[in-house]
Amino acid sequence: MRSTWPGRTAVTLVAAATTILVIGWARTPNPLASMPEGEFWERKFTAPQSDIVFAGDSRVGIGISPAAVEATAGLSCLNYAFTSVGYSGEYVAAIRDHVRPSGVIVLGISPWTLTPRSLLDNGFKGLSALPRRSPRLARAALDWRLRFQSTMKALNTAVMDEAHFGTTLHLDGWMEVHAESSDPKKALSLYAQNFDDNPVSDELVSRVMGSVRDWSRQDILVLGFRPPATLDMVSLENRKGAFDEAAFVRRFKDAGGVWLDIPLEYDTYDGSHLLAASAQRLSHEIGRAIRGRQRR
Amino acid sequence: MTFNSLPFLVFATIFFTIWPLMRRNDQTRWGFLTFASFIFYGWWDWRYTLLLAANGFLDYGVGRLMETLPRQKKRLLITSIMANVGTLAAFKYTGFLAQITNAVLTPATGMSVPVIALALPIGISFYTFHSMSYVIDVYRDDVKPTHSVLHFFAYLTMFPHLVAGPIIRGAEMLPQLRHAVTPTEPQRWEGTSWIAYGFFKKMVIADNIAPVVNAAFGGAHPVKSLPYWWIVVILFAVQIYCDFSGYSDIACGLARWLGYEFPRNFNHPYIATSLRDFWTRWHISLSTWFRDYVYIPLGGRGDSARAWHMNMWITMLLSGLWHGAAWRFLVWGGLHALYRSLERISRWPERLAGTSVGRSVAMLLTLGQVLVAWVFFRAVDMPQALAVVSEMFNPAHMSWAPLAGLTQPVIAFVTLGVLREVLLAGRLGERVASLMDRWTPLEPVLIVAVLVATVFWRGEGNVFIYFQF
Repeated sequence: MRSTWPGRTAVTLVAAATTILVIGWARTPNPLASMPEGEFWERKFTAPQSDIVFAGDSRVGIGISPAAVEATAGLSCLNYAFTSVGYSGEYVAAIRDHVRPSGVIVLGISPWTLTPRSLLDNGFKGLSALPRRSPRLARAALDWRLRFQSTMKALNTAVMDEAHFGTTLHLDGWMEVHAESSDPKKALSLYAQNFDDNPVSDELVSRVMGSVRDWSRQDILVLGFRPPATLDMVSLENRKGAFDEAAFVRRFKDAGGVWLDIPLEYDTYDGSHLLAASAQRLSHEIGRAIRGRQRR
Repeated sequence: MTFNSLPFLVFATIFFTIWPLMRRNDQTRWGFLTFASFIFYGWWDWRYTLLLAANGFLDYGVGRLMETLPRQKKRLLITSIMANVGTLAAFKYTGFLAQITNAVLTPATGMSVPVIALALPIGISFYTFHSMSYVIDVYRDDVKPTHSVLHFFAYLTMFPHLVAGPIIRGAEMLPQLRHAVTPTEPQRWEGTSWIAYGFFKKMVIADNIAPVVNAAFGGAHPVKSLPYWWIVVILFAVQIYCDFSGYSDIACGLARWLGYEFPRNFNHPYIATSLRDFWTRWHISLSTWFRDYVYIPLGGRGDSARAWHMNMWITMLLSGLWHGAAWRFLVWGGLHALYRSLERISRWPERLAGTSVGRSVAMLLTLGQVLVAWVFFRAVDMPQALAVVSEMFNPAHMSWAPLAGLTQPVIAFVTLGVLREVLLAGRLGERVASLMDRWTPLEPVLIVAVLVATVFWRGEGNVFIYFQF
């Protein structure tokens, strides 16, 4: 046992606690993050019902600003998209639970959301698996106080040359992304890997169509769109994911949904996810389409 | 509650505030420790405390009866072992046994037995082994049965070791618990150091590596790349070591704060130069348990090499099954047995031990074998494990492209883990200790830094891997 001096343990523990509290409470919050990440996902997961609910994976999460949709459509809106999510039975049921009667559901259809692997591990599933009894919102807020930002993000900023990249997390579920520079080919290799032996599943497509049919019968307006990405990305997804968009759109319309053709004229930072300005533009565009439909 | 949770922080603060008042008297010491441990355990699900209590009363009673009815000792031992193993089997192995039965029965007869999957009470494998060791030790006259039920429960349920070890034997803990110990400042300091580094290993290193490993094994089909899988398995090796040894360190540290001592559970396992050496360094309390209560009673080394191989294989396979009711755990145990058999036959570690280069080669060979076995431990199922292992040895898939997803700062955390091991193992570790001794403010500064880093650099919370066993 090593030499020591009296009170060493107490002094060290008090010093550690003081340092943690001082750093935690006196720090300048990350100006790019308006909300702690844990709280952001918790609030989204447990959000109340809205008139318009957007669903899909991170492309919708980053690409749709509910505030912009609300401003254009004049209805309350929620971005209920989760990272890497697929249209599982649980997710589809949760989407329905979050929309008000006679509301609008807007499904972001990226091929990934229709693949079997998207059901295995995703942001929605992770939140669903957490125990329900703990006061998670309070804990999320405390977590934030005791954490500068997530370790990965901190090190990405420090090490991975992503200093000019930042996110603002909004209460309505939008993850706003700013980046001073973009690399439209950045996400291609990851997506190529995502679709390795993982093409779009007929079963999942049928599930989506069944939900569209059910919701339409329940007087819910169901819209669908393919979140914009680069042409290279769309081609890769169609090819490797064996996704026949035209056939999907036909079935979607037959099921009672309304398909929105979104042009590929929006700016992404990685070839897959929209920059904030493009996300605002897309949101207004879809808001206008919803307003047009509501008036009919 | 888990050690890395807010409820535990509150629990520990209250417990250690009251403990100095309660430890002076035997009954209050044992009673308070038992009461607090039941709260700690019941936090997961209070119903499982009933099973824990039943287990404790049974083995306490068996211990007492062995003393009063010495002629019935063997019968009592068999009763206790059957009850303990039966409970473990009912909760842990029923589903697996039903699957095996159906695999044999259904093709031949068309009939099947229902596959019942009971929820596994947390830590059951650990406390069952604590309890069984007590009864066996009483049977062998290695320990005198305690006459106080509170004394026994304080040992069995003691919260630092209750759910994930180290596996403590009655002979080690019951005598310690007889004394009201006020920890000295060096003991408190040692405990603090264990706890701080334990949390760091778990929450910073293991939890930051976990998402990468989970993503790799979460895919429906393994990525086709040899280098990718070797790196993922190395990451898992670091993760599981930091996760489990982190838990053991915290447990040892908490025991130190109580004034007691737990045996060391890990001793730099990845620098082992043979599989035999590895098993004296990895999960030491479990490997010695199996040695003393399974391997040696089976005959140990025996009279012949054949007897040794057979006893060792049985022990390793049982050790595999202890970890989980699945073929992949059985294969994991079997692989280690195979390695040890080959080691014994070829004597390659001894052949390489003569030179420092040879010892380094032996270390790498040992590590390589351990890594391959880890695939079976971590994989979701056998087909995935076999697919991953075949990728690890498929020179046609030399693509480095999938590693692009791994060039995240996770490498920094692995480096931290490896660096810590290198700094603390062998002679370098002695020099570091001597430096700490010479310049006493260094260690407190390091501990403060470690605790601050643990809070601010912690990864997303994960339960300890060994809780599932």
